Amino acid sequence: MRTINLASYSNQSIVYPVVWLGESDESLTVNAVLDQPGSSLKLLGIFFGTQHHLELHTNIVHRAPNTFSRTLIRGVLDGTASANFEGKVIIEKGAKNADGDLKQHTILLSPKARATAIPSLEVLENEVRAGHGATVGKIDEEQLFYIMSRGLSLSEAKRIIIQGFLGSLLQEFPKKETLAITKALRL
Amino acid sequence: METLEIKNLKVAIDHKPILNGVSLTVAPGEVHAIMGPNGSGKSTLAQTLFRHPKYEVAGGTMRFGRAKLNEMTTDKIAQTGMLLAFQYPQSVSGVSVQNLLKVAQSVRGERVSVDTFVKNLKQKAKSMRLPAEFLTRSLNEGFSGGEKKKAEILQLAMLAPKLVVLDETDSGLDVDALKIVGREVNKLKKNGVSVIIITHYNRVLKYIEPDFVHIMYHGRIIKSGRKDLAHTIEKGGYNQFIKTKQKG
Repeated sequence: MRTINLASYSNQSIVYPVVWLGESDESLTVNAVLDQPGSSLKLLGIFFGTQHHLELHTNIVHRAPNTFSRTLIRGVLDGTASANFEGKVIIEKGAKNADGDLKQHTILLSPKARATAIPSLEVLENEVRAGHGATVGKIDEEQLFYIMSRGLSLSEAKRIIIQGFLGSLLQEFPKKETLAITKALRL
Repeated sequence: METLEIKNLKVAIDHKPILNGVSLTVAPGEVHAIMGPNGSGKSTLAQTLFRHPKYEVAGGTMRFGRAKLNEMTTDKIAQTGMLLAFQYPQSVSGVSVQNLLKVAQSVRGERVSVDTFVKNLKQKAKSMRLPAEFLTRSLNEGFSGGEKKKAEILQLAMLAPKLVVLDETDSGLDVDALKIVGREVNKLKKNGVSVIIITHYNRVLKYIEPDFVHIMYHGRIIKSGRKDLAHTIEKGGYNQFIKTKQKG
């Protein structure tokens, strides 16, 4: 299990990218404590695999006022790949006007691919904004029908939907990771 | 140009019959309006023509020219030149209109350079009063009802259709948008494109004049006529036909 602890800086924004491309089993925990007023963190994750397992845990604690966090994770699993995601956002007493949100979406492309997602939110302060949500599922049949009705084959439709699904999050990644992912996934 | 021929089409969802024998012939360049109360099967007919996997064809045949639609998948049907404007256009994150149309055009083997294509697309969007940013934004994400419907017509127009099915394209449109949609559809018609308009309301037919009007009820076409049938419906509602039908 790899653990990464992120520090926070007053009135500064940090973007931290996590990428898993299914080359081997991976177990990763990312912790961040936003204990400096006005500090901000974007924890971005993209995973794509056709085999192996990803265990990803994220824990974000809002300790200081006016802190901001986004945990945005998107994954696509094919073949026999699997993933378990556990994401936590804690807003402690005293973190007034904190804003924390966590979203995790996984698309499963094969019947043998597996994913679980356990998002959780703990809010101990009143004047805050907080939200979380997670989905795991196949590509939406109505979306496929829509795209195919413009003349794209099933596999082309899937490809364009997945490109869009990962690509819209990829835009927020730092350039170095963007290039690596684009290359690996031929986006 | 091809003729669409639907013969005695029967369709079910989860074994529950929805269409109970629909027959309809649409010759090249004709405009047909299909009207009828909610739940009469109009949208089922539209989606079945494009072979939505949810709808089981239990009987009958659908042909467009020589293409046997019963045996085809949605993409192949689109490639014959039949295109559907959706009642509820899907939003697709990270896929833009421009993106989708570019792939769709290359699939059709059209040899248009990317520059020319984008230029044409922008021009068309402008003429439909759809701001250029809509072309590069995620499909239908955050589009208003009217913008979605305009974007549907834009997509159809860009893909050189031979027959278009407009599934309640008029609902949710204000008069200005309706006029724009009407103008675009009339342009298609002028070029010999066949049009099927599915609607609840007469008002769209002021802008797109139908050659034929059909009334659907309980999965059947119970009455067909010329455009004056739409006026009769407006005056007396659908009940006048439904009662007659039940007596007969």
